[in-house]
Amino acid sequence: MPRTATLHVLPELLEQARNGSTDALGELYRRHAQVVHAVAWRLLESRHDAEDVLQDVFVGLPRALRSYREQDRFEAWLKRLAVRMALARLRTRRRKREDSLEVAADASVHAAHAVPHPVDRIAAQRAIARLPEPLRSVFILREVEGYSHGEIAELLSITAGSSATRLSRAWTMLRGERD
Amino acid sequence: MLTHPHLDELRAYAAEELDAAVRRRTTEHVLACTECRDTLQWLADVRAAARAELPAPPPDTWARIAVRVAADEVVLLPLPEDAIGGDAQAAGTGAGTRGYEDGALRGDGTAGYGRGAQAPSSLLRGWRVAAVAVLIAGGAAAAAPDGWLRSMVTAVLGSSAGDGDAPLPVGAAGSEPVAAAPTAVALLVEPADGSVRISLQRPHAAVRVHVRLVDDTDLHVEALAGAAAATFRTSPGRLDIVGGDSGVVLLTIPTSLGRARVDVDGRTLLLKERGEIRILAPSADTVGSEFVLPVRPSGTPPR
Repeated sequence: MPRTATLHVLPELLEQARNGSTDALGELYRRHAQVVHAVAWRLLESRHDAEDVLQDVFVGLPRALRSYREQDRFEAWLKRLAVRMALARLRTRRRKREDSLEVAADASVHAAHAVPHPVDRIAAQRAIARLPEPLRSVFILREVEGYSHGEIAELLSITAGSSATRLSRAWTMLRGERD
Repeated sequence: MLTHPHLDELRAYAAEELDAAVRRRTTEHVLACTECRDTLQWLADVRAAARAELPAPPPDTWARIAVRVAADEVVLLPLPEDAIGGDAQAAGTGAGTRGYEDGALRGDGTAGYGRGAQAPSSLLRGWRVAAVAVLIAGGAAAAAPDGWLRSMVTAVLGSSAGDGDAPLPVGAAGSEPVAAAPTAVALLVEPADGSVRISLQRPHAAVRVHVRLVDDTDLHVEALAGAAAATFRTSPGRLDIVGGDSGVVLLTIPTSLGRARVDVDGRTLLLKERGEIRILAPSADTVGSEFVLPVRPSGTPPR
């Protein structure tokens, strides 16, 4: 007996999800959950928080799709929502930690952030994770997610110049005492 | 003496961001400089480490999402085109945080909520003062907290509006008609003798109480959508929420709180005594890390 498969064309899928189809939403999840989960995890450095963001994004997606414009690339649009959700969560954390760039700058003189050379991947990831959150967010958004400084400025409510400065400081901290 | 390019220049070189002239000059240097070639390799290695693939989401995540969707849970995502959201959220966070910390009260709401949407619990915290503005500008006397809380609303609004470096997102809210009634209200309830009692009286049958236990110090209450139209009455260690429409009441309870009790029309839904939580609602559910407690047993006709 021949097997049939439904090929979901994205605009139709989006329309169905917008209208409350759980099947369509599930298909979108199957296609894009990894991207949402990864960007949230990288920004939040927490698998648990990343899963919360992933859930919230997809629970809120049908309603959010009302604002989606077809000319936007869907995955980029969706990822940006995830970034905003993750950044909102980071801001909540920051209020509690009183994380400051000044403290971070002081920390940079210590070897704790130095990445050994040749690069050990795990050590590098840990060093990135230890970056102060304002620097790490910019580092991830720029070096991993590929956003421009203008886009990062818009996402973080900072200037493009601040974004570039933070990126520079992040790399300098990662380099640590290598020089 | 050899002058090495700055790390930023090497990073930009690796990312092919340099203009042709600088790139040509940097290339000449790198070809002759082992140290800078090492640095370029290091930049590439760190970048690769940062981009390393991460594990997939837990396999049951979709099932959890499906449960929340089936429960008609609404999460407002921070769309960039929202009048207050995304970009303006940081400003809202700054003002709101101060208002909350100084005034021990918070309210949440945006112009987006005025369009009839519910507020997402995960996003609310950034928009506290905005909701206070909506609450007052809307003139919703029924929803305004009574007693000292009402004066606190005014105090928070006044103090935050004066902050020059953290603009209150009222202007953005003003770009759209402000709803007559608030669509989100958030409060901080201070315990009395380590105890808090929250009482819902005559709530809409479709109201759901979400309870989240957190490692925090304060008990927060957020009333979303129609639930924000209730009347809020306070006294030390107590909050009465009277009336209101269909919506969500989110309780964020600190694990450190000695005793917390949530009643609906005299019937206890939840009781926390030190480390023990007792859920007494007949059809409680869990969504993510939250308990979801309907205020009426299933089958009870709505008002």
